[in-house]
This record gives sequence, C-alpha cells and structure tokens, in this order.
Amino acid sequence: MNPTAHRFVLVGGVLHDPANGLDGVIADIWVDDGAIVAPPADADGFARIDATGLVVMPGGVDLHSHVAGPKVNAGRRIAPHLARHRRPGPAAVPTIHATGALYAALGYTTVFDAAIATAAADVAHAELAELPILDKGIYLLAADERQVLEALSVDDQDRLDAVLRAALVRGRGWAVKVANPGGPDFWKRGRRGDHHDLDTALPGRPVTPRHILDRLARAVARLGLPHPLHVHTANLGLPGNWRTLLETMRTFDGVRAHLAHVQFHSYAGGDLDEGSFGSGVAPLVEHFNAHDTLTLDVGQILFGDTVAMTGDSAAAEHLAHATGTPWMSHDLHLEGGCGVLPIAYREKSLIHAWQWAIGLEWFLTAADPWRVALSTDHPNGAHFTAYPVLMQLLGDEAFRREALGRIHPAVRRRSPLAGITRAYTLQELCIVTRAAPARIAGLTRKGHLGIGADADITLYRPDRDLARMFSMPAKVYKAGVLVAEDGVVRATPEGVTFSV
Amino acid sequence: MTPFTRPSAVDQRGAAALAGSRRVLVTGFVGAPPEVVVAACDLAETIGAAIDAGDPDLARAAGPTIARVGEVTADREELRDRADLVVLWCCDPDAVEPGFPKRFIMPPLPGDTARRVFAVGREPAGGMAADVVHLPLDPVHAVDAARALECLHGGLEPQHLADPVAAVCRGLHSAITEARCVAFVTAHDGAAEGLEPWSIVRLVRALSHHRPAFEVPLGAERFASFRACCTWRYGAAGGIARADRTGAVFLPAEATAGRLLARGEVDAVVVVGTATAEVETAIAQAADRLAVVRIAAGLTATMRAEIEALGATFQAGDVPHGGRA
Repeated sequence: MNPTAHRFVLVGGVLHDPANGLDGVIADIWVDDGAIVAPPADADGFARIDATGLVVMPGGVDLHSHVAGPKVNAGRRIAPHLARHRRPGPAAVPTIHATGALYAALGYTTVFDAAIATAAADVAHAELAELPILDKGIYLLAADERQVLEALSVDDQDRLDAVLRAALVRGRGWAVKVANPGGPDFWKRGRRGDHHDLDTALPGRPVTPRHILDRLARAVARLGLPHPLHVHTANLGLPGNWRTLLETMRTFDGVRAHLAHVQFHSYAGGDLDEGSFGSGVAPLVEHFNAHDTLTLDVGQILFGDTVAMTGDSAAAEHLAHATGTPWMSHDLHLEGGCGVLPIAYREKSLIHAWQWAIGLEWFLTAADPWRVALSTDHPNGAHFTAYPVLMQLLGDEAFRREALGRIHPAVRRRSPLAGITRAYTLQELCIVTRAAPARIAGLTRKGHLGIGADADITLYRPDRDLARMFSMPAKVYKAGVLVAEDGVVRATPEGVTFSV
Repeated sequence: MTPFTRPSAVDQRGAAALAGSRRVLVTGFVGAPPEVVVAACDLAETIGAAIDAGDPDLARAAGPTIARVGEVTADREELRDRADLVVLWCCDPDAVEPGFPKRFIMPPLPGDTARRVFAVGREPAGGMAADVVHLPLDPVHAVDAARALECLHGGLEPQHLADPVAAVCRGLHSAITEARCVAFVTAHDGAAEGLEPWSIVRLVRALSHHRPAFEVPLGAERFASFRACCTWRYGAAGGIARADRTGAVFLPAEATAGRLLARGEVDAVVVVGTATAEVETAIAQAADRLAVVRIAAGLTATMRAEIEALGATFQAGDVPHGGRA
C-alpha cells in the first residue's frame, strides 16, 4: 500500500527544529507532495491538521542499527526464547516487517544497517526492500575485502579508491564501514579474541590496523562520500580498550571519521583484567571534544535480554567465552563475517552496570550534541524500542539517579555518573535523535523541518515522563503520509534506499 | 528485449485448484533463488497457506542453528582458513557436496601451519589427498565415540568401550589436544534431531571452551534462500502454519510439510520448483485427496511470474482459507 501523500498544514505545533534554530517555537508546517514547502499564496487544497499543544520534531534517524542481512537472520533464530510470542513486547530481533512498523510507531523514519558484507549486500537489499515505511541504507564492510587489503599492502591510493568505489556500486552502499581493522586476519590465525594494538602488522602483510584506518578514512574523503568512514575499532569489549579508541581517534588527525558504539570501546582496566574494569571515558571525551572532525554514536546498553550481533567475529567469540553462551559464527567468503549470541544485561552485574554508566557518561560529557548520535547499536546494547527510556535517562536527572541507585554498588561508588547533573533539553534530545544523525549521515533532506526537507514529521504529546512521551507519538508522517497514530500503524508506504 | 511469455495454464488451473481447497501448503524450494521464494511467500500470504520446505533442519525451534548453536559453529570458509585439524565425522563430504574437500579442506592454511585431516567412518573419505588418516568406525558407534571423546577431553576415562571405538578416541583425542582450531565436518542426512547430531554438538561445545572449535554440517545450503527469506518474514526458517508477515504462526513440530501431508491437514499443495524426495513421497501417498499445483523449476523470472500470476487471481476476501472462495 502506498497511499498518496496529501497536501496539508500542521497548525499550531511547538516546533523543535535545531537545524533551523527553532527551539520550542509555535509555527505551522506546510506539506505538499511529500516535502515541506513554504506557505503557499493560495492555501486552498491544503487540509488543516490541528497540532496545537503538540511537540513537533523531524522524523527520527537511526544512524547505527542492525536490521537486515545474515547476522540479523541468525539473531532471529538463535534466541527462540526471545521471540514475540514468548514474552511481552517485541521480539528481540523482529521480523523485517515488524522492524519497520515498530520504528515508525516510535517516530523514526530513517534507519541504516551498519554492517553488511559486500558479498551479502544483494540479499540484504532484498530483505530491506520488504522493510516498510522507512527510508534506509547500508554501510558496507568493504574494508574486509581482500582487494582492499591488497591495495593497502602496496599503498596504492588510486587502486584503493577504485576498489572502494566498485564495492559501493556493486553493493549499493551509503558508506564504508570498518569493523575491527585487520582483526579477521589475526583471528583466523587461531588467536583467541582480537587482542592486538593498532601497530602490529597483520600476519603476512606489511599493513597495520592503524594503516587501514588512516588510508580508508582518507579514501572515503577523496571519494566524497556523504558519511565519513564508519569505524568500529579493535578490541571491542575488552578491559583497557580505551587506549585503543584513543589511538584510533589520534590516527585520523584532522580527517573526518565516525566512531561507532563508543561505549563498547571505553573500558579502563588492566590488560584483559576484568577485576579492574571501569570507565575510560574521561580522556576519550577530552580528545573528542577538542577534535570537531570526529563524530560518534554511543551504543548505550539498557538492562534486559537482547541478542548481540557484530561483524567482528573475534569480539563475539570473546564474549561467548566470557559468558559461556552458545554462539554462532558466520563467515562470508573470507571477506566478512559475523558473530551472534544472546545476552542478558543485568543491573547487578558489575560489568553490565559499568557498561550502562559508561554509555551515559559519554552522552553527558560530550560537549557538542551535534557530533553525537543516540543509538543502542540495536540490538546489541538494547532494542531500539527502548530509545524512549534512554531519552528519559538523558533528559530527567531524577530518573537517572533513581536508576543509578539500583545498579551494582561498586559502580555507583566509582562511576563519575553520580556527579553529573546535566540533563538534556528537548532540543538536545531532538539533536541527538534527528538533526545530528541526519547531518552526520550526510542526509540533507532529513533531520530538519526546513523548506525542501522530506515531510518526515513526528508529533508528540508533551509529558514530564519522557519515556512515555517518546514511546507513543500522537502522529507520525513519512514523506507526508500518516503512517502511525498513537502506536497504531496506519499505512505502510515503501521507503527509498539510499546509495551513493 | 523479447517479451516474456508464460504458460497461462498454470495460473488458471492452479487457481481453480486452490480456490476449491480449504487449506494449502506451499513447499518445494530446493535451490530456489530469493526472488522466487519472496514471490512464493507473497502467494502463501495471499491465500493464508502453510509454508515449509520439508527439511527437518529448517523447522526446528531455532531453524538450522539449534544443533549448530548448541556450540560454536562456523561456515566453510572459516574451516578453510582457520582449522588446523579437520575431522570428517562419519561422512564423505565429496559425496554430499562434490568438490567440497577440494575447495575447503585441501587448500593450505595461511602461513606455515600444516592441516591434519582425520576421516572417521566405515570407509575412507573420497576426493581427499592421500595423507588423510582414516580411523575406521562403524557409524552405529558414532554416539559412543563422541561421548567418549567428550569424557577424555574432560579428563575422565570412558568405560566399556569396544576396541574400535577406543582406538578412534585415542587417536582423535591426541590430535585434538595438539590442535589450535578444530573443525568437525558432518552430514546428518536430514536427521537433525536425535542422539547423533546432539552428541557432536556437545563434543564441539566442550572443545570450544578450550580452543576454537566448530561444526560444519553439510547439506543445508540447498535451502539457503528459503531459510533467509522465511526468517526475515516470519522469524523462523520453516514450519509456518499460516503465512502472515504481521504475525505468522510458527509450529516447528506440527506444521512441517511432511506432517501436514501425512495427517491430511492440507488438501492442496503448491510445489515451487523442486521438492525433497521425502516431500514428493508424502505427496504421492496423499495423491487421492490432494490438488497439486506445480511451478516448474526454471528461469527465475519465469518462476516468479507464474507464482505472481497465480496469486493475482485471488483478491481480498477471496482466499481459500476456510473454504470461502
């Protein structure tokens, strides 16, 4: 069903449109043919829709999620106990139709799958073609391709550019992702986990992970891609990995780069010593705040059951052995892979409590919300339907303190979170869920309500309970079509797929 | 471009057969490409049909993964690149998937590590290099051998083993102890349930706590597209009692093609492309009470067009479910 978009005007809403400097301003929005337009000279034919008292924001943009492809399918099967009919709420990994419906009902209208191997791109696109409502795109794990590594081995920039360009065309990708640079080469030599620094040469190649990161970021810049290199750096989930992330940030030295799910890369502690586990956020934030070429998404964890899935098989193997959980590894023609396993985040777990606090510490100490995208790395940190809870944790200090009081006591004592009083305003929440991710992703028609923008608009009922407010939008429009109303999906138009 | 012409008889006769039925099963799918499976799922949703390919590996609670997930599992390229010990467990991979040994076992490992290959079973495996070590074992003792190996790995001495089993276990245990990464290649011949698959699952899982170890079960790839499409639509790879992308019913022990046919719970079948031998046998046994519509295996575009034409003959409210048509 693809209903015709209407001409209409939303009247009297309270606009939050950070990209256009509107912060709680009462104004009308005119929509024609799926886009936001200037007030017409002749208003005949425009339906009036009363938005008085409602908070109006652009449709949400999820910059980093996992919604399609082999890893997601593996996730759907690996945890039958987390299926839809086995528990309240959605399945841990919903079907593709449910994914679109749930995102839309939440007020989100754009999503990117952040890790698709080029070899799996065709089948991922076939799946995404069945994702209703949302506009979507994929980041290609092109950095794992043998041709890329060969071009890097001879330090041939032109060849590297050509290989990446071909991969993007072939895979219809929007961006280039690197997951654990060089990690598969170490891992396949039988090393447990991916414990390596950025300056150890890959087995049999004159290439280091730092070399991969640097050259790829520059290649992406030369190709003029809308989104910078999307970086999942090495040593995900390991104690002491904050040093790896700091070195990763230093590697880029003025070149744009996006740091994915930084929460999973910000752990203090000795080398693989879980006993000294803690937060390594402070030095990282200091560097991040001082370098405006860097952007990030957090990958916040929230407590509950979910399924971890990553293009970093080595990290998944490490997690499986750390938790004793059965897992699945999937390798795609040697040029990509993934690891999938169920995981339960518990408030009283020392490690999980630290992860929770570390993510929030990132959100609350990063100075510029325009360089921060809200994410849970769905479903790794939490299901995307939990975003409203995360928004309340950010925007409601009392709620956050109450939650802090329930977690592992050692984390309560040691985390800097207890001393942080910052609370996000509605405008800042709008930035990290819409304006910033759209801008970081390079989507000029998303994340704002200016003239020429796609008419992706979400209307909320104001509520002190931010989780309640953001979990149930009054109305959601996608390209001018009413797609959801009070949690009920009203239409399932087809979205577009972004590719460069 | 030459206009595509499809045989119109399929959709007309097929539609008539489906319209007169009360419950339909959509099956087949051996080697079917994703485009065909998607079209078949659309048809199944239109008429409220059950959908299953009839392979037991697809219709268990966790689809193809439950036996594989019970442990650490990997795909074949990982075996090629990583495993310095390969155990062919009561199977001949070249017979199950011709060329498999040449593509995934015989290539040398990266670096200077040598790969050792043991063939456990009644006969030496085919298609392999001469230096494969054959450990003779009657497959009826496979479960005993797997459990004994698990004991040895755990530091226990297995009791009451027949001599051939003990010999196999001693040889393998020694090799496993020396290995950095162990791959078991299995072919459960469609028997995804039962002691034999699970004994390997347990063994691999136990090993994997000490060194990278995984199982590579052969034979499931023929349903790769069906498994993928069904999973993204319905959350399960088969055993779908009623296709509905907003809330399909998944009954792994009930809605398999074989059981629906054997119990007489469907009165029409749409066979998309090639069906397994088991499904064809079940169809033949129920032939006197079944309407059978076949979409012949062929070009993807042809198959898809035929399925779509069949589906297009049904309108909302016109579905055979419940005999309303």
